[in-house]
Amino acid sequence: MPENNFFYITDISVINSKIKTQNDYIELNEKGLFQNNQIWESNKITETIDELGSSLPPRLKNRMSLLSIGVCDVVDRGAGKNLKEEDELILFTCFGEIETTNKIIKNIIIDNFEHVSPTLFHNSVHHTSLGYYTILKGVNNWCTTISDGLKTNFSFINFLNNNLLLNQNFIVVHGDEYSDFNHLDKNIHLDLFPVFISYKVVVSNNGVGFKFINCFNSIDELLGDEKFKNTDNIFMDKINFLKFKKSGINKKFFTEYPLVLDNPCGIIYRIAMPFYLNIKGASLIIENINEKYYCYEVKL
Amino acid sequence: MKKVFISSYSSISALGIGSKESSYNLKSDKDFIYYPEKSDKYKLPFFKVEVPDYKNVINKCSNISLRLLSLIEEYWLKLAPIPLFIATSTGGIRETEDNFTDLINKKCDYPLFGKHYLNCISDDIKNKYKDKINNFFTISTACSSAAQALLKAFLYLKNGIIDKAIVIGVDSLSLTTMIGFDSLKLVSHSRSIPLSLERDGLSLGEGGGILVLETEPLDEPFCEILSAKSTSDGFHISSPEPEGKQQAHCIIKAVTSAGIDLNDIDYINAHGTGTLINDEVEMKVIKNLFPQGKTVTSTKTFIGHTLGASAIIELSLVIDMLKDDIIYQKMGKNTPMDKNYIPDKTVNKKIKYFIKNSFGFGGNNVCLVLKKINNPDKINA
Repeated sequence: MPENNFFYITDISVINSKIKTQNDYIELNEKGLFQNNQIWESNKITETIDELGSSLPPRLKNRMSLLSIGVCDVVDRGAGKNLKEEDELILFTCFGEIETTNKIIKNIIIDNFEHVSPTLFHNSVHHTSLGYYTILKGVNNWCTTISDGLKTNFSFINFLNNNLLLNQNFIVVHGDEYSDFNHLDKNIHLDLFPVFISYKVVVSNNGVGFKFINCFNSIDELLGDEKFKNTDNIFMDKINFLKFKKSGINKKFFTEYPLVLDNPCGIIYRIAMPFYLNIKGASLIIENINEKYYCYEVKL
Repeated sequence: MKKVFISSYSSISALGIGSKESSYNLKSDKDFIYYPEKSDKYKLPFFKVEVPDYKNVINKCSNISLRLLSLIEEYWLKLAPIPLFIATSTGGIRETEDNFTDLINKKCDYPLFGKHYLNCISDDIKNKYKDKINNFFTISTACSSAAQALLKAFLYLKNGIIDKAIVIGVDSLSLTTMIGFDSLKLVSHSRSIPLSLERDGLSLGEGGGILVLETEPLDEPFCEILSAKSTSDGFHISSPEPEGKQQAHCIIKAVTSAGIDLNDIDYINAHGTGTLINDEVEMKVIKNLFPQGKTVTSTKTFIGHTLGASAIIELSLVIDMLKDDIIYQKMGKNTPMDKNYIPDKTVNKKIKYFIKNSFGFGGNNVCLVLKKINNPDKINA
């Protein structure tokens, strides 16, 4: 089995309705957004992101989905800055170009169209977003898209833990758009708003960065672990964040929840937080999936 | 670095369910294309698949995947628990269309999040096989999805990260897909004959393919995957770059990485969709890289373009063909684009090294290089 090394996260960019730059992100952190749930409501993200894709050619932008615009913008501002020919780009998207799909199905099923707009159709394909990026930048990198609905967080963990063992650099991108389609399911009520991130994961040669530690089978196993006991900064999803904050355990708890709300891919943002906020020292990143706790240590 | 072998496989397509039926029908003169009835909403010929539904499984992609797993269950259960990679471009779109009117009118309680998005397939598989399957993730890169999933699984196996994997490529047709492709003016209104001068577009197909990959096979394997590479055109969303520079670069990288020479390649199983542009660019690339000639065919002649499932279904059929050292071809009265490359009828050919090309929207290119392993007595499901 290959060695489990440290990796660094660099060239980070996050975009939602409240954040365009790293300064926006840091200011929200200084306000306490990622540690204080009482200010979440007044800082809630929305479905409109001003000036998204402002650097794109207008004629092309008019033909692109929100997902594609967001992906191109966030890679351009982040991981694309130091793109090398051999870098693999992987887009994680829970719901893909869902608003485009929604429009097409409506055209066919409700409006009885016999044809649909060709632009609309080729935009409905999951991979289009990264495809547009390669076209805009004239790059030829290996690109893949992974999409698993509400379980895309698990897909990310599986991908990350295995891809890290290849000991190669790669680029992570996440994006999801807003769609009324997601309100058609009567039983699921989720706050899903557009949010995008990109970063480069690079091999670290000096023992700083992040690496996977363990998957704990219960909360007690996690709490009993020496790494948990000896680490002050703990990054968790919303539910565990709220639980642990009330627990009285004397640590600093953070969550990415206000950045992404109910988007299942919070872990993709959470793992980059210590790097983006430059939180020195030791941190733990925890993702809870089906009562198992996937744990990464970060040393900066 | 480890070696990666294909130790079991099967497919479901218009040719049949499982390798035995598919192999039998590959040899027949029968055409398995479906011509729609007047009452069908979609009017153009396509390659249809019928599979019975499993209990409580409503997605066609899931039903195809479960059927594939059952066809070779006797083999892969010996390896369980086993990582599962899935490739698809449509997921549950078909079933969403069936329920859409009631959803809009709030007349049904359809589990959209559970049945529309791509994880519906892995969820249905996990429900049946539980801890026998460790599902990894679902890759969706349009028509190159299955090849990309194979590439990922291959890399993890080659580097010793895992020692076995199941890779499933599956797609079912929906009105969205069929009408969408027709709107792009890519669909043949008669019947697609890829790589022919008379080609006028693709014919859509559906189905699924399954491969079991191992580094130390339990049983004698069928093929070794020597390498897999991917590039992006960086040119256009739905058309290939006219000179095929990145397709060529992808093939060269793959062959070089396989440790062989371009001259060593005996056969190319083309992406070969039957569209004017795809086949033109792909053949231009092939002729530039292999100026002395090479045997090139497209399996889409028999099963249509099965989109995200194509690379794995086609590889399954190629493995079946190569067992008998025969390359099946169906040109009818049509003329191959270049007879120095494309046979006009079925040919006998001993093959050791072969290539599988797969190209997708967004200019996504994948090339796999494989080596046949001689095992004439072994029969697959």
